[in-house]
Amino acid sequence: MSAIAIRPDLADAQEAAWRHVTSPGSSWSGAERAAIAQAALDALDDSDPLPPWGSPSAAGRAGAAGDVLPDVVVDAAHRIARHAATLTADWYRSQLELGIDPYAYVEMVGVVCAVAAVDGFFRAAGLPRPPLPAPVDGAPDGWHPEVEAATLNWVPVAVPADQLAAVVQGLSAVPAEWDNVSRLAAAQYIPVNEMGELRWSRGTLNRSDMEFIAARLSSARECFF
Amino acid sequence: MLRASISAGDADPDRALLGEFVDAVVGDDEDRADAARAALVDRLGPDWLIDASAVVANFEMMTRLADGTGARLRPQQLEAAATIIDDLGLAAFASARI
Repeated sequence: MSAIAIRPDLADAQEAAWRHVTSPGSSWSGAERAAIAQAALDALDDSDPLPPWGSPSAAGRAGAAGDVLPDVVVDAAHRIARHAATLTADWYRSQLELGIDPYAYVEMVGVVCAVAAVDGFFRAAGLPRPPLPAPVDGAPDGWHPEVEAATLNWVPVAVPADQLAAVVQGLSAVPAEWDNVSRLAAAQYIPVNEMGELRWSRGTLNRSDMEFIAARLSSARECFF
Repeated sequence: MLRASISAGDADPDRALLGEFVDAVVGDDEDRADAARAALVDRLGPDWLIDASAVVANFEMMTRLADGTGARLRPQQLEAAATIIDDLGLAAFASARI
């Protein structure tokens, strides 16, 4: 196979995402976010995966993340990373009842999303995935925008709810997570503010090619949305 | 930027190659994935592998975002997509929040 070079804009977005997931956030420290990311990577790397209802902590497979995080968080990060299409509103509510704060939950989803992106690229390209950077010291800042319940998502979203598409407002309770996802999307696919331009192309791919890949991947992951 | 690229027809051999690439790399058969990557690079070039992998990565990300936050389509979107939802059997997905 010919030599493979990663576009600089894509490499930059991936490196920024990797630094972001191991840096302090709003609800989680850098070490906790790194452990969430590791739990997600463990789930994605597992060659003998648990079923969706299986729990890594109960199976004695919490790994290094279990040394940093409560079992419920390891189990949730695993489920979102490996079995996202099986999640339900009842499951989400059960996570809150088990003690995960709604903001912390949204932040965890944001970390898993970034992990799924970086892992997904290197897995698809058949290239070695870079290791997670060392966690950055520091406490979470605790900042959040004003939020309210949404009809388009389970999770609370920044006010005013439901003015934007569900996937655009889904992480809005923790804006830094949406910013990270947006940076990745701009390099991997299309900048969010240019989604309406159907003639957009990305390197070798035209919009039709990109939507073909998107549909095929989303179908394989059984993602209705 | 605008460039000519793969045509939209399913019967197009390049489109079939791209489809096989996606199906292979999301599966757990490493030999199949290696073959699909090699076929893509041999026929279309290494830049295709990077660009196609980037789009795969984007939707690995967005599927977790949608399903992790319980994202729903608006009623008018569901209505507009009713035929394709029915034709493809998408309502059977566990993630169908209708």
